[in-house]
Amino acid sequence: MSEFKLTVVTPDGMVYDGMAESVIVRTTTGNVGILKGHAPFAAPLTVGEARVKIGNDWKTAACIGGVVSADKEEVKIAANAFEWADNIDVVRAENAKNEAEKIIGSSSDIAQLDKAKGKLLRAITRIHVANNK
Amino acid sequence: MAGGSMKDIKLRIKSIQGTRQITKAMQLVASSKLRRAKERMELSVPYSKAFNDIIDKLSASADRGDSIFFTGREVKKVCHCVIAGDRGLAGGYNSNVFKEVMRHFSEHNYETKIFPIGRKTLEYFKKRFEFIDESYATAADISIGNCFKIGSMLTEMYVNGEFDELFLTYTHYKNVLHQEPLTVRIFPLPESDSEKRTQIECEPAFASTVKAVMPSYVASVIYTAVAQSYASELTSRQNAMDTATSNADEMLSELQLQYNRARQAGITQEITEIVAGANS
Repeated sequence: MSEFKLTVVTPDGMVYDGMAESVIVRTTTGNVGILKGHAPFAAPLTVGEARVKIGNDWKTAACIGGVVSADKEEVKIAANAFEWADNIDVVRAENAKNEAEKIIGSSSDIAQLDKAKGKLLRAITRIHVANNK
Repeated sequence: MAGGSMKDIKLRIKSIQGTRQITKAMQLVASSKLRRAKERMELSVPYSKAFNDIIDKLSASADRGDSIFFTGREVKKVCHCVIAGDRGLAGGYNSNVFKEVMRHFSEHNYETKIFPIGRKTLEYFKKRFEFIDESYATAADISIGNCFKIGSMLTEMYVNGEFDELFLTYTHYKNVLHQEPLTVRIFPLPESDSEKRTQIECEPAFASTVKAVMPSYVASVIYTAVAQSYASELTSRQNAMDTATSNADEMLSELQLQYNRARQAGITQEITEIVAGANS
């Protein structure tokens, strides 16, 4: 299989800049897999697991929000956060999950519930990715 | 006797030494903070560059006419986001930003609301303009999380027609000696440089994709601008305090000379008096 150039950036800096064979990300309309030579494409991302095939290995990451864009040569992911499975702080994610669950169990304020829901989703995604390397 | 003037000089030396200590301390604090601020600024560059590339690509799309973010509408109300510092004593940093904003206003005369970032912005525009949201007044504390909130809020307001153009004034960090206040238009998005229109496939449809991406895009623009402005502020303060410290040093050596002269004059006079007394 042939490779294409993949760049993954977040506000905290460049996460990946190199070649990849395949990338699967979760967009707002579902998972999208991209190979070399894709037609020009753009889609907003949501919270979910991202999979990248580098060489012969699949690497997974928690990808949170942002946008993916592809053309013939290059795929760009500008994510709000993008953490490889090995780098995820599971303890922090567990804490965030517990906090969010507590709020969902007790609060009735809609804005607060929405916020907690987002937090819970991010935490669950992180835990899931970290546990399924 | 020269004692009175000697005491005055001594007092002035003391007070200048005190000032010098403060300016020196401020310089050191600014330079240690600057290292972190610069690091943050450099890390944010690839992110905003990637976003700009993506927006540029969307802007060259044949579907651009579908989205309010590209087409714009008749301008009646304008929102202007102004990023300045939280504190003074940073040379011309704050006043340069405000000068740039006023210059911009003199060219574009629309009903304008200010979205202030930085306490100085809040103070400067308080009497003259209406604010959109005053909760992000502390520039140094703005995190990427805040920027996402700001991005969603401004995007929603633009979609709802609460303003028709969105401007941003921040300080561009060129190098240690040059920081330049700049005004950029965020909404509507600029025309693409490339003339030819390309077809770009979007999932969901073009307009929805653009709308979904916009909050993050605005966040990336504002985050980079804040990082650049903050680094500029610290550099500017460091330079100003450096100048102040060396001015103080100059004054101190001048005063020390005066003091020594006065002391010498006093001694000479005393000796003359003693000699005169002994001779009589």
